[in-house]
Amino acid sequence: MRQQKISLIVLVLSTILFGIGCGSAKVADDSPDIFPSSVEKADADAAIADAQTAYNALGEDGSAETGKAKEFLDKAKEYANDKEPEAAWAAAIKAKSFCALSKLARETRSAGLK
Amino acid sequence: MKKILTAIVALAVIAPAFAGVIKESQAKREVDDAIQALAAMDARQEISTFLPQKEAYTARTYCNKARNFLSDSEYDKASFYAVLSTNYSKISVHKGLLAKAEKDKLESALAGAIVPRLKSVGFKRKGSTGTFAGTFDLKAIYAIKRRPQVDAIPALGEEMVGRIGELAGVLNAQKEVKITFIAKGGSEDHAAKYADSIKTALIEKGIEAARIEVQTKKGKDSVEITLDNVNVK
Repeated sequence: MRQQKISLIVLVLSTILFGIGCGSAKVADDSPDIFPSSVEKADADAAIADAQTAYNALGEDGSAETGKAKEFLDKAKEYANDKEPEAAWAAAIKAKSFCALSKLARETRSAGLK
Repeated sequence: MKKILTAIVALAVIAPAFAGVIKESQAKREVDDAIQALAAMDARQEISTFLPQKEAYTARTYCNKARNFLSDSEYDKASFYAVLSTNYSKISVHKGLLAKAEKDKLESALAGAIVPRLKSVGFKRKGSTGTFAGTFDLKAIYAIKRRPQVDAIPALGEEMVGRIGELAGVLNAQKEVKITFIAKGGSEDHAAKYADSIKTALIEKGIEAARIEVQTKKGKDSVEITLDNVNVK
């Protein structure tokens, strides 16, 4: 009888613990999320280098998008100098995004598409 | 003790306003821009089927994230996702425009190939006009040599089914083409049956019955199909 009670208690406890485990488990979010929980200097430097490469490949074309890319790239470098890696990283990613947009905008413009 | 608690509560309330490098007003403006860019993307009905799924989805989810971070007073993240969402919406529109242009280009190239397409299924062009004609005998239509009984008309031959498929492709793309059948047979009933075989096959391929005009005559068993107003450019 005593053994049965112990088994029952163990069963109840393991059920509760399993429930807690499931509840606290991170639910998979299918939406893309790229903002990291912490950004190191190396991450920021790598993002700036990527953005710089993308910007160099574009070349200055006087478009608003390329202008924005340059603006954010400069900001990223400023934040990196001010030892704000998170802000530097975010600005570099924004710059890279403007580079991608600028490249496509150039293609559609040259094809005469609106 | 009460003062310390008040200070902690006050700090908790005002702290987010000083956190990060992006100000609330800037984040709000960027989130508004993201919402507008998303609405502009959704309004482009003419390219809705050409929008890249991944980028359009990312634009939408990043916009939602930006709004959520804005309400949580996390302005750096709100600004980050808002700017990226705006750019993804615009990137989607640009990619959609390019994809549609590519499709249009392919379609016009395909239209340029109309002459060889019709030629390959037995049609000849009359001079340099938009009129094409082809005559199909019993062998071509049913893969038979002798005239069948009027109540025992066989199914279309395999080759004719292929021809009808190719022809329907052209006719479905060019709704303005007029189709005329001149069917001949040992009797008008025969002629009507031959014409009906081909007409039914075309209707099954999506051609409206009203586009097909049928004339029946007595004569050598065959169906002459004439296509008028074909755009060969």
